[in-house]
Amino acid sequence: MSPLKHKHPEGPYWRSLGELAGDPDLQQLIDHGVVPPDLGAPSRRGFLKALGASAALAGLAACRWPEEKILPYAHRPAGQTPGTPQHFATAMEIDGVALPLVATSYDGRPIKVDGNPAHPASGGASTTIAQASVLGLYDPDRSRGVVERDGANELNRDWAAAEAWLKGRLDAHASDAGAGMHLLLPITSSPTAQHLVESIEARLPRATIHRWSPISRRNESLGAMAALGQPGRPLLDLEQAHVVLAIDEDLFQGHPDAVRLSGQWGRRRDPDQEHMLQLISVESGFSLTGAVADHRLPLAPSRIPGFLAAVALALFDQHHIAVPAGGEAIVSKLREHFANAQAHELAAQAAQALASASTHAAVVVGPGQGVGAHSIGWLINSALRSGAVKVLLLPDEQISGTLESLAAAVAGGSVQTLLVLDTNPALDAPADFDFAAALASVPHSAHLGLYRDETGQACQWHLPMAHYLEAWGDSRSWDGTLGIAQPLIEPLYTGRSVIELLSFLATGAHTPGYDLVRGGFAGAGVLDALNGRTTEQVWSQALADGFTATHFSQSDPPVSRFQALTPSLDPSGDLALSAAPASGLQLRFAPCPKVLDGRFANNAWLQELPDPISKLTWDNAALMSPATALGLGVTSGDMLTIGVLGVSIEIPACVMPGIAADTAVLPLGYGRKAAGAVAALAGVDVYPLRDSRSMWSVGGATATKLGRRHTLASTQDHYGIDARGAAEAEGRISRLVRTAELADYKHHPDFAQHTVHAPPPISSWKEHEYKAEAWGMIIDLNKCTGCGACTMACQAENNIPVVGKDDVIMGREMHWIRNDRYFAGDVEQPSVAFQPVTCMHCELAPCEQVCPVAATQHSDDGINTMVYNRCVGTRYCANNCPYKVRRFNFFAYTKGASAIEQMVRNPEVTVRSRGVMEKCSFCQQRISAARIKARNEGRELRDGEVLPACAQVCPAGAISFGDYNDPDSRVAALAQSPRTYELLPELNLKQRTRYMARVKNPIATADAGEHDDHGDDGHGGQAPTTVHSAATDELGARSATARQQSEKQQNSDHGGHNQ
Amino acid sequence: MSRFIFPAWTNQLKVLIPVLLLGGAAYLTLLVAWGASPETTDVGYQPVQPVPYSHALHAGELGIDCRYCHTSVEDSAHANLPPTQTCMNCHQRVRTESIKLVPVQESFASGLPVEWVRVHDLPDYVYFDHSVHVNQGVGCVECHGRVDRMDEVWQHEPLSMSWCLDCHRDPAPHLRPADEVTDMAWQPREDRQALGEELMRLNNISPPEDCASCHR
Repeated sequence: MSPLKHKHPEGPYWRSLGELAGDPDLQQLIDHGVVPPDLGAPSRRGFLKALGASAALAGLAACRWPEEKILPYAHRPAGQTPGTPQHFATAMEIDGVALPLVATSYDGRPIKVDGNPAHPASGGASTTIAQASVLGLYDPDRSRGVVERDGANELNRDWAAAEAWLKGRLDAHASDAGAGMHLLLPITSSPTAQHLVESIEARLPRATIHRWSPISRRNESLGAMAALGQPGRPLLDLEQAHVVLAIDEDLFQGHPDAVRLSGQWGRRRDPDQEHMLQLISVESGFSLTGAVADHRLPLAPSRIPGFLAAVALALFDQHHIAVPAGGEAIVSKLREHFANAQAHELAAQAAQALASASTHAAVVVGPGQGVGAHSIGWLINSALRSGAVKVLLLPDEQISGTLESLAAAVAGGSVQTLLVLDTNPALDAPADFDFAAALASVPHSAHLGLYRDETGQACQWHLPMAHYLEAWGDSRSWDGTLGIAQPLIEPLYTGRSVIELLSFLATGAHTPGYDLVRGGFAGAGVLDALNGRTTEQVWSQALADGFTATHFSQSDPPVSRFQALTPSLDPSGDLALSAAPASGLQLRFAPCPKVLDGRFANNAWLQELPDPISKLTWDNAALMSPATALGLGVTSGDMLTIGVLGVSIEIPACVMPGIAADTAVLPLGYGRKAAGAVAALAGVDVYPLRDSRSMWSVGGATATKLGRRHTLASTQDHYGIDARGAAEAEGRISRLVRTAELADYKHHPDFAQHTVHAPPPISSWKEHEYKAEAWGMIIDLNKCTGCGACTMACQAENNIPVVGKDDVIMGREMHWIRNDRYFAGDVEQPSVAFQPVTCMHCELAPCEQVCPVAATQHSDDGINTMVYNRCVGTRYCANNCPYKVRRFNFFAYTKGASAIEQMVRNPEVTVRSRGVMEKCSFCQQRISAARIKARNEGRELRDGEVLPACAQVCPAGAISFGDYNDPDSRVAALAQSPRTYELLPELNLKQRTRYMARVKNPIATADAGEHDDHGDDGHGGQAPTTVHSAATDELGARSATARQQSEKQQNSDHGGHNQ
Repeated sequence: MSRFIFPAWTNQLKVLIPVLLLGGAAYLTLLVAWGASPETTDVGYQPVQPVPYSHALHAGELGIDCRYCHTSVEDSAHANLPPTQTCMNCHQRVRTESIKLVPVQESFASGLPVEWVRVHDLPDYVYFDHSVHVNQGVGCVECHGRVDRMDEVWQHEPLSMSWCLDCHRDPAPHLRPADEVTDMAWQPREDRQALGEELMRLNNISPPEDCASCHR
């Protein structure tokens, strides 16, 4: 049967622009395998050191290893079995939204953090940041005690001295009822914190409370006010949605409800269900939502409200949707400002899709857009009577208090005492506030924080804060469910939590966090419906579960329908602003998916995690499209001076396909000098460019090339390949990531099986029959959002070391599971495919055949095992692996860790030393633990009992693990799916890790009924069928030029190469 | 030119050198194989403990079950040492004036642990699970010897990989009903091998021989 020529929707794949354009550095990589490091001349000292080391080795070691001590408890806590991990439910709060977690404690110290399976917002999954947070607990750069700055002297003090000082300030303000006393708090949803703030306000009525977060979702709340009259947040329910239009919003990373939304996304992308979810994304930067969307349009930040307005007007005019009551004012403003704007083709198509989905459609707008865009979003949702998005009305304090009023007060000299708790305005306040300098003028100031950071150094007193794993707390998840956060370890550095400090201010005495949370529990409204239980029972249940279901207010559950708009805020000013075209380069300030606003900048795991789209590690860069870069005459790594409103910074450029035209995306949170040793190595601080009027985007920026270069460590250009290989790779990648459109899938559900035609496999080896368990993993590419949580979970679970920027440049990053990112199609508007790659655990593994010392073997249950103590480091196995999943310890990356840093390691997994190969083991320790448990209980293993770290954490549920030999298991069922395939099947390796092909769901157009004839060419290579951007003719010409240029380069490479 | 003539005494040397070399190599090999093997270096290891706790008295004479102190041996990978609290359960009243118990009493009062020296130690790259062995019917005495006759614990078995594999490849001679694991003097009524094979059949005992079962 001749191979199908299925309509390959995305065309040939390419991994980076360098490949397309014949980058000379990439050529170096190709020719020599690695970019040669600058080792420097050996020094005399270094030589003598080496000599000394070998002399030491000549001495005889004892015939038996050194004596080991056993230290049992003197009084063992009840219920604790040494060597058995315990699990406690807790929660991590970021900017007022809790992520429900279950933390694993081993011998009294937390080593891993996972989602809470019982919590609806988590389902057992979590995020990269949650996975990495346990490293932050043991960060040696954390502040270790109270520090007082007295003039030029820095004195180490203790909490008694701090309390005395605080008492002194409270007494000083007692007479004027707190006038001149200001508190700066983070945004928090903690009911306990709220009660304490009210107590403080009662005690000191003239004291002022401010709240600040540099990446707050304030615009979202204000948008709800503009449309619905009250601050609120959208609760998107993808289970009810058929079409979702995401405007400058990343639903799957950075969104406070990302875990739930990713889980819903995974379930709604099953192509066999009746209405597969369709996602349309319009954005300036490149987010995961844009990467997985069926349609994506990159637009400069100022043009996005215009797009949304076009969609709205198309709905009312072309599709005759009725304008909802109360919405006439906004519609008239839209007609006033946007009637003559040039509409994009996608706007009309999106309107059509939304109209036909009607109540199953939803529009979500990101916090980077202003009030105007948000009100248009609510207008559309209301007009469509969307059942997929509800509004959770928030209490006023959730958006009350701003840094602006504080800055004004400080400038006016009315601030006598300033207490900054768990926030860092000296770093991230808008540049026009000049907050760091302003702090110096405040007579009495104190800072509570995890690190003695920029604000901590600027304040008089710095007080160490307890990490969330060390402190009691409560907070609410996105939908209002109250979660209890319990500590797993006593504060390592005498830290105290925000609520403990607030209670000190309210009462003048220290109250432990447990008492505060337990006392506040009664007031949180959870006891209104006891249902026959005592308070203690409700509390114990909440503690065990980690949450108890309530809303912000029992009387105000989420509003499900909103027929009428009742604006209490006028968005017209913002709309008018959006209608005026912005000139010059536009800048988009984006929270980094890894370090957020910089609070995690000192976390080495996050710094080394490749950014999901740019694949940059240890750095940020000004991300811009190839056309923009061409206009500036820069390539990746060229240093730029970017200036706006009279301030400029120097930052390297990174050329990234898909960024909006005339836009540079600047990730926040890097270049921090006061966050610790790790943060100081990474990136450039872009906060100086951020103004209070342009918190998310600004126009009129200039960028000039400096002439210097900066090496960017990206994981996307390793293992370069020559031109003939590149051509071959282009064809192969479309076999690695098999994609089809929904219409094609419906006609040919087994398209994935026909993408590759290999001769029937004949094995040179005698094959083994697996009678016991046959472990295997299936990764559904249709669900994967590319977030990288799998990489982070694996790092936390398996003691994977951090290698640093220089070694990442040489391709030595140690991640056992990596997420490959491929672009396809138009260079200016590409589509993206993600593929998590881990050890395939081939039954006929090429690595096992070549190990000279049999350090890698195959177990009876089909796992390709790695025996670290046998490995001598020939690296032949890595050479032989077709997937390049084996990682080698080139240096002793794990040596030299302090005692505190060692506490994060998982004792169940060997810590590897230098010279040893390592790779994914399917979490052998979890398999053994489950098997032993089943044996001890006298039963068989159940499906789903063994969960490797990656499968456990994946928010989209893309990774399934289980026993292929178990007929009832999930993986056995998925293995039968027509979408399931193996990578490089022609090698006949009988891989245990398989993939499921992607199905894209583009908007049905007039020519959707066409079906490609079945030709002979089974490979990809077709032009993409995604909607072309061409925002303006000029842009279209420019991108076409860029494309032609790169094509020309490519052709010349093809022509002139390979003698 | 005259040929070089070796002096006469080199005739003997011609024989002696290869003999010495081969003999030396053989001697060194045997020296290492016998002298450096775990049977030599590890068996009999008897470190000095901070408290002269006598198993012969407590487990042997007094008949206290192993699991009274080593409580987690059926639930956990580690067979723990008892907390000081366990000792003081009796020794709050018993022999309170004994000088041997002073470290125990100090530990109980201060909250600091008694620093026992580990006798049965496996390398760090070996992951051994006690619970699955105890629950499958491997008696304590099989690996630890007659601890109930030891005044000071010493290592009875080499605990080397080949020693472990000997049992893993043929567990039958080392198995007993699970409720007899702590009985150090237990002898089977019938043929040990037959009983072991019967137990293997009944309890579906199949010890793993994969590298990854212990080396992960």
